[in-house]
Amino acid sequence: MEAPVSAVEFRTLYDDHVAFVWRNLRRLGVAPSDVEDRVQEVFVVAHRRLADYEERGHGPRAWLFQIVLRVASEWRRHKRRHPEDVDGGAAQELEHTDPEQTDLIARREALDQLDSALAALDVDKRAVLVLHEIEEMTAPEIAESLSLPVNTVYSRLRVARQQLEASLRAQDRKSGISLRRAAMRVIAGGAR
Amino acid sequence: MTDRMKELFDIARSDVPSHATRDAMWSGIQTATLGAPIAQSGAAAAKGVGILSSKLALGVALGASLTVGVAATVVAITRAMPVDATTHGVAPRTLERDAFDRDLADTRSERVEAMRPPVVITGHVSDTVELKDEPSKKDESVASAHVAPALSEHDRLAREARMVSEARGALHRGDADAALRIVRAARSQPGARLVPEELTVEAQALHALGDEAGAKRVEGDLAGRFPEQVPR
Repeated sequence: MEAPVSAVEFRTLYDDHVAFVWRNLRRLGVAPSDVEDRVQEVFVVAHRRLADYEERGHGPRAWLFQIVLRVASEWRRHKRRHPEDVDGGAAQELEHTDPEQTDLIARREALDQLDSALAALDVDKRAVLVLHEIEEMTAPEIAESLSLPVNTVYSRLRVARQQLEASLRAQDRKSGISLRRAAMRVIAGGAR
Repeated sequence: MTDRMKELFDIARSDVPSHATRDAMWSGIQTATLGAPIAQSGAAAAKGVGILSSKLALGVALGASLTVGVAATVVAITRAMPVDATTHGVAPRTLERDAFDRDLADTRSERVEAMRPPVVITGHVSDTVELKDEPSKKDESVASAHVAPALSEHDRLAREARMVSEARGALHRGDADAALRIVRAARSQPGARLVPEELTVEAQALHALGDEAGAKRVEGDLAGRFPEQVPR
């Protein structure tokens, strides 16, 4: 027996979770220039695999996150094989309406710092940290999503926090807060 | 946890695609999935799990709560998507990795085919329309194709800003080469509006690469053209 899923049901799934998928692809290292493509990929795979979805008590987020992990992992493999585009791929981006320019750049810079620091973490620890601190999922939820014992989630979370903090400190030492301040002074001066 | 980490997490929580981006991505997904029916498996039906919409609705309703009793009545773990074994140290449970990778490859080729520019699908499939093997005339009438418009001035500016931001990110990561390439590409865009920022990043990248002469030249250019924007 086959029961087709209506477009509105899939659209609802998309609307409810696109931000979740977007954020997690970014935090798992997918470059801004590629994230839109990979979001689409996640949902196309989800569309194809929807018949396999089984509710396990946490809603579709855990299931989607597993697809996100795979897509992000595949993206990282692809990036290792293919060097970065000359402009970082930004020229191929579809752009979107954003807040004021200064705010946009400052926020993007903060996210760049976070992503750079996160990149120093193993993906397994990064996934736990992102799900807990950004997606605000509980440890049992994360354990279910990642098929881990709850105690492993707690231990990875503890280590991940320490590593992230160390990574942020190292980042400060390396690039210097002065770099950020200098850039912000330029931006505060206003775009031409 | 430090205040800075909290601040960064707060910013990350609000990192969401805009409505325009969501719609653009949905158009791509819709294009790639039109004609691909999502069928509930016979096994799932036999298990009495219910139609997919019920599952999704239940999933959303349950949200983040962990209730073992509810989970026991609903969960059928054996059909779950596997977690990446390379990243989580657990073996895939039901779906083979190869199958998933094939799925990704198929997905990509479908999307490449479906996303051939410049035609895009606008509007949404009517809420009452179900995905079918072949799109109906009704679907076609709703999903009208047209030529994608050129980027607006605002979009170009936002794209340029993102490139500057990416260049800064590359600098933060210690990849001055990439920063230089990206920021120069940004500056070469027609009608570049963030030249002072781009020159600043370029000078920083050149310094990082040890090209002091090049950095001084760029800083001179910056000071000459935009004296009011030179960091003091």
